[in-house]
Amino acid sequence: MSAELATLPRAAASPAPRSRLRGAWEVFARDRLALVGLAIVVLLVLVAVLAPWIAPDPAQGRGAAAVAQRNLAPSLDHLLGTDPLGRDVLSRVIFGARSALGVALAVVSLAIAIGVPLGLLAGYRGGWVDEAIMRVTDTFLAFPPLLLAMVIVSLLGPSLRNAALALAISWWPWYARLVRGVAASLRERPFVEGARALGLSDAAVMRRHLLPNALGPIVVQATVDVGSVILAAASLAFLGLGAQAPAPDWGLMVFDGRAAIFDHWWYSTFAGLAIFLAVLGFNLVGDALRDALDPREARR
Amino acid sequence: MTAALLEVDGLVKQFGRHGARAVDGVDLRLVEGEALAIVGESGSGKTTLARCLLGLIEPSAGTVRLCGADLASLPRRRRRAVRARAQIVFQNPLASLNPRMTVERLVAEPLRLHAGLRGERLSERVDALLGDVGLDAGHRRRYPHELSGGQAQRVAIARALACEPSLLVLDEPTSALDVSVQAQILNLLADLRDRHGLAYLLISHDLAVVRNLCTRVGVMFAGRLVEVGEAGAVFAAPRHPYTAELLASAPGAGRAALMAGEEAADPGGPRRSGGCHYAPRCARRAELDGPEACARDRPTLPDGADGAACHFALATRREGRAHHDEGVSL
Repeated sequence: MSAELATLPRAAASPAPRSRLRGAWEVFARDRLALVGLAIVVLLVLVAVLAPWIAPDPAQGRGAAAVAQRNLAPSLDHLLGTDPLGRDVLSRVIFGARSALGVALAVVSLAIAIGVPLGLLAGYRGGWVDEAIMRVTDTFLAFPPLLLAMVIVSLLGPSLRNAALALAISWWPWYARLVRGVAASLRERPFVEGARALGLSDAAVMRRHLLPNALGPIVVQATVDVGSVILAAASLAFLGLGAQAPAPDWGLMVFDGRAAIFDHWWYSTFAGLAIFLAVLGFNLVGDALRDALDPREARR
Repeated sequence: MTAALLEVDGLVKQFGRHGARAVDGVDLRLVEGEALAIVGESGSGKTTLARCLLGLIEPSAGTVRLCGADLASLPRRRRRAVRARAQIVFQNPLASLNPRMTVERLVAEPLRLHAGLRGERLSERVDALLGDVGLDAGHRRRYPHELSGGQAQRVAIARALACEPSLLVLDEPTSALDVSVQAQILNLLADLRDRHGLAYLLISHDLAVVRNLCTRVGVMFAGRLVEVGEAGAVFAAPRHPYTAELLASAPGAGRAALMAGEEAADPGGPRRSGGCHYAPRCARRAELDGPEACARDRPTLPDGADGAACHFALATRREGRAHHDEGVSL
């Protein structure tokens, strides 16, 4: 049986699931940085979900002012100090995780929802459909994502929701391009032709045969993008184009604290650190996933 | 006479506006239960022909009628039903199965689609099909990469059979397999043909496989059929000079690959509009001192009958060409 397999061309290099999932975890677990990243991500998610229970002062975390205790330096009472409105910075940072993750998930989901179907269609159909879709994505990609998002938010009016929408609009082309590549490479493969010969509709071929084979790259891209979007959303908030006061938002906090950075350094610093950690965590996990899901990629 | 299952008329497939014609005017007729082999060197357009027949690629000209219906002119819903009547088994079984689906799901997919089976009845039918191709329920949960080449090819065959096709296109079904497994798959295919009354269109360059599975053979050169006839007769007494060349290049008797050399794909020089497209390579023409007809008129196959598309076809050793499968050696 092994001799028989040896004579077969290695066209089966494409990933196969289940048992491979375990193999992927083994590769992942061997990577120490990946585990650090995973720990950060898990921590972040837990903090976001449990914010009302773990924040020292949930009301202040949400934005309630406490003017009596303005600008206190970090101490045992307020581990990360308080801000100019007397709010506990730790609580604010904890609640900020909700906003950051929420925006990032919304943006990435929306970008996937738009980009993946378009990419599948372009890659699978080819020809003028491909041309048309790819020219549109190229147009979007020609602008720096943050700049494009800024323009869109300026048009729609600054708010957290509009910032998310704007980021999704500037992010989907990456997914379209990624998935298009995978679909185009699979299009001529016998199993796709076979599926067509069975009489499956184009939609069914794309959903059942192309999409599952593109999931790996999509998951990797999405993980890295969650980090990038957190950063981008914070940038928009910093510029006043994202979340609006008194919402707990890391970008906003960095902005609010920047004027007093030398007198009350703790306000901006901890929010900035939170952004840094989040981006780092998702990047580490994304990189490790890339290696784990595609061994060929790892060797490069 | 049995009704025609597959009728191909003047089929042309040209890639690109000025590109090569992979298929250049093929007429073909296949009746229920018939087994026809298409042989020819690599690049002769065999696989392109097969993909046109299945509607996987649009022909540039000509028609393909399957069960009396022209695929190109059918509305989408009807096309699906007609298309299911012809299925394909590919050369590389691992590449032809979605790596992310279990055997169970692979075989169930066409059953859901065409028979609308669900639940218990679907499961029973999957088992029956797997049994049909010599696999057991233990293989149901496996993924293609967990199967041997032979097992994977059996799954591919089961998947094709699930559509209850009348015609199975076999594109080099054994050439990616280990020798010991080839025979098993050939036996399975012969067996299935008897049991289900399938018609086969076999694409191959392995004459042993052809003789094993098919009664009739069509020889293809540069996109055209140059000779059609009973397999035994064609192999014993080729009438087209190209067939003779093809047979002569097959090393030894028994199983042998018919892969011609590098020059194979191109018949030489720009293809002329008139004349025989095999002429530049033709030994027969050289032998006859280059008769004018070869450069002037395009030879055609005799209408609806066996024969060779050649102005100076080689004489047959026996006139009544049928029935001499015995004693044919290559």
